[in-house]
Amino acid sequence: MSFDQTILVILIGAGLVTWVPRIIPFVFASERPLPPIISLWLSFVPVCIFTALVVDSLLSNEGGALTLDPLALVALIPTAIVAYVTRSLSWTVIIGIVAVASLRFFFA
Amino acid sequence: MEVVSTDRADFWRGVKDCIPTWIGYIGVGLAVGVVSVASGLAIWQVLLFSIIVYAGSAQLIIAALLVAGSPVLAIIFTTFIVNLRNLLLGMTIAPHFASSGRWSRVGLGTLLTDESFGVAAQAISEGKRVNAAWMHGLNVSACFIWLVSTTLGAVIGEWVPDPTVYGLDFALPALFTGLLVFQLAQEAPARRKLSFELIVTVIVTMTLTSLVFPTYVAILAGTLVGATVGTVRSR
Repeated sequence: MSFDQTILVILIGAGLVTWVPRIIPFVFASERPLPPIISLWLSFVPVCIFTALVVDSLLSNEGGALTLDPLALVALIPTAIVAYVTRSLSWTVIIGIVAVASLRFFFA
Repeated sequence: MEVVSTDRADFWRGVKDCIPTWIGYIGVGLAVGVVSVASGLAIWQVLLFSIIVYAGSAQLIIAALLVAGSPVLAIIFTTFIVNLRNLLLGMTIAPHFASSGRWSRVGLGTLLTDESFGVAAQAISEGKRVNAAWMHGLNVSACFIWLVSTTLGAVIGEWVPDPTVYGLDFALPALFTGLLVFQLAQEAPARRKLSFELIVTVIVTMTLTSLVFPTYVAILAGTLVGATVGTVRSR
């Protein structure tokens, strides 16, 4: 296979395996309430996935060694405070970026 | 006519509610474009990946695996695992759109992302009016920003081999930290105490999982273990 053919196969394959899990819950969504234990389980998904996505961006295991980005970890503190005080996502993101950029400027 | 204009207003309300996520998309999108070009993709191929796969972390990993010369099937399987969390996200919010038409729901699922899920889940738990038109506004504007920023990243990548986007990589963790804080702030004290336990559970699970597996496996493991512990602890 040429490089372009390989890319085409990856494109179609990766597209399909991404699309199918994305639409299945919406295709089969029903107005019948879910069993209570399932809704209870699902009610914990937001807190867990938000935490997981934050942790994922701080951790990396390149070359088999697990490393933590300490400056990003510190920057989470002003970010969380701004989120709590302003209740604005835009301000949270802007202050978060400024915090991590200044920390890197002075300490990296 | 009345219904149409309401839908249109809801759509634009969705676009507006999406704005805080745009900085995140632009930061990651530029990075994905640059990395993809560096891994040998042409600009038009980067755009095709953004249209057909439409998933930041997966596109970054595909680029890395291409450079590493991984087999095609390994790349597709990895993409499947990385994006499997969409199934959980969809299951969590899809019931709120059950009364919409089937094709509208397929559209909602097709463009679902971590960020649009985050904004929608937050709006739902705050009791805001959430419907398909609003969610389409959220999704469609996010997709548009993604296509523009990944393509722009690819163009930049052709000229500048390694642009350092200071701080922009923190846009996404900042966004999810904000959503987490909003969520915790509105919970009743008992539930909030449980949520803090779950945050610790997710961190511990992910750290342990990451020792053996790539971090994208840890995201799934952390979420599954966290939600299960939450269910067991509250019964």
